[in-house]
Amino acid sequence: MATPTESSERDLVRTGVSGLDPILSSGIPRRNVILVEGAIGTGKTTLGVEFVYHGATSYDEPGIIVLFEVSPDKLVRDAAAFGWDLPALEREGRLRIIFTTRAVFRQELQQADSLLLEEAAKMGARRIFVDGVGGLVAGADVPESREAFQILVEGLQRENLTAMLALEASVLGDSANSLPAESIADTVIRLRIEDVQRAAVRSIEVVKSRGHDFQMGRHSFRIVDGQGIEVYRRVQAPRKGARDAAAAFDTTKRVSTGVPGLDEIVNGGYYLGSTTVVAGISGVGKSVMALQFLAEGARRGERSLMFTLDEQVAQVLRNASTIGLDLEADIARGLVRLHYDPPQEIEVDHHFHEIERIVSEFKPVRVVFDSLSTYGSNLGTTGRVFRDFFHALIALMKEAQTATVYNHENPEMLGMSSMMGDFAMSSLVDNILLLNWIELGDSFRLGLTVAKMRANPTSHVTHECEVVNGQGMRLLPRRLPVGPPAQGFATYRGLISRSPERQPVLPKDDS
Amino acid sequence: MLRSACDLDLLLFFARHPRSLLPSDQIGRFLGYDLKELAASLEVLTAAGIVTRIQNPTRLAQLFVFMPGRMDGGALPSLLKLASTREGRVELLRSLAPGPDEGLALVHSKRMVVGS
Repeated sequence: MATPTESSERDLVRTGVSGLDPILSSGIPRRNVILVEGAIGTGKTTLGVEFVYHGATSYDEPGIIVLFEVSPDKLVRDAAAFGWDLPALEREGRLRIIFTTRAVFRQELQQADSLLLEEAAKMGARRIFVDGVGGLVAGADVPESREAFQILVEGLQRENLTAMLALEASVLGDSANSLPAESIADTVIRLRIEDVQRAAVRSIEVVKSRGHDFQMGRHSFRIVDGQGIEVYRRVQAPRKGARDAAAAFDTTKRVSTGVPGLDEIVNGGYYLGSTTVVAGISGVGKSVMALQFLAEGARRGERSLMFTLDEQVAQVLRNASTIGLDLEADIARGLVRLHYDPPQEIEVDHHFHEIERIVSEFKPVRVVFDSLSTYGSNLGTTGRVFRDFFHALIALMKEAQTATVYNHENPEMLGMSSMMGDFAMSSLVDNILLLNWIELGDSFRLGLTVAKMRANPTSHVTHECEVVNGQGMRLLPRRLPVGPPAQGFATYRGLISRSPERQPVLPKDDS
Repeated sequence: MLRSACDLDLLLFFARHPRSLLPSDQIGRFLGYDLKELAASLEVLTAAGIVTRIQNPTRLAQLFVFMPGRMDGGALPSLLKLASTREGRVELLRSLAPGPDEGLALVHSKRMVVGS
């Protein structure tokens, strides 16, 4: 990706649109003709106006907006909803909004003494947005189309303008052939509204852009009141190289789990930059463990962050108070942050963008996601979306060097036949802890097994634990005091295979 | 200053399109007036300094620039508000001065001054 220095050396024009310039590797080469294609309502006009607005306000590049159909007063009104004061820019001579017809516009660009180009020259315009060039360029099958568009491009380039031209999708038709405009334009950006089940998501794709690198694929975007367009890079797109480097563990620091007795069996805690999955059926104590993990961080003065999809913040706080944890106080001290995102209709790029932003701002040492299975049920576990999202999430957390815990709901009530069910991503995970109900006699008892601990010795012994009201979870000693009714787990075998049997003789290793 | 429905409609058009690069006949077609009527109204507005036009003699299209600052007393917002409803527009049209001698400046029965 280009650095700011490289960007100025290469004379790139920054769009100023939130999230778009990183996708364009800092900007678009100056004097490129940018074709923005899309159906009605996809955001072409908003993108074009924002391009000119940021040019005039942030980059000292005055601009012109040419309209054929939209009434300028409506454009001004709509822009005001994004906080863009276009009349003020017009008064300052940094913007001109010109209403004309396509025939006049075409003629103007062909003439050296054009009134339009004279206006552009007088105000020192560097950018131009032309809203609706559909009437200027016909379909792929019309021979005159290439010449008409070529005339348009020549006129714009003669004036040293970086031009953004909006083209309605109806002009694209169903033809498999590309339009002449697409081949002549230097940059082609396609806007879409895509159906995702019953919801709709906006996407932006840079189809081509001469003279520089860019991130391919469909990225999501939103049109945000009071702000304008916000682009969220698609989750799969490569991020900074630093993320790969960060995958290496710092072996000197351990992050305590906050669960009494657990640190001892996970070699003192989780590594920074590690990924831990706690798997178990609903109600088994995963969230309790997570709350203790957060509270332990706060107790040590470490920032702890929880992304909760299953329960809203008030509910999480109430749950914490029932096990004696005052997370509200930790939040007030700035050591804990809880972020709730409703799981319905998660827009994965936007959600990931929010996670990136919060992690970057809050700089946590500990992060909890509750739960991975909720992501799976919304994004689907069979396609690539969930897998790519989880990959990107792991990479992000490694880069941020957080000890991250993902709760995962395993559907099996007694024992487990697979660690992550349909998710099949245990290879990405460093540590896996299994929480199981084990039926002994007439009661369910809780077992914790460390199934995987990358780069650590692991005993794979199942330990009994309990959740005590007002205290939370703790691991019990391997050997309980002898006497009915409870017998320590060490006196059984086959606990996780769902057929526990009493062992006639205690194993020697019963620590 | 305003004398006819065409004057009023042209004023409102330029208020909505403050910088228009168009041939006069195109504006006439947009508003539904013949060229002669439109040309007269253009003269009224340019004479009052409310609209300036920049013309290239070799082409039909002219650049019309609306200069709302030339209207007295900031009357334009009130005028636009009044003209935004059918009733208001009818009232405005009724209020237009009937004859050229009066050098009319009324666009409202409450004697709102629009020009000189």
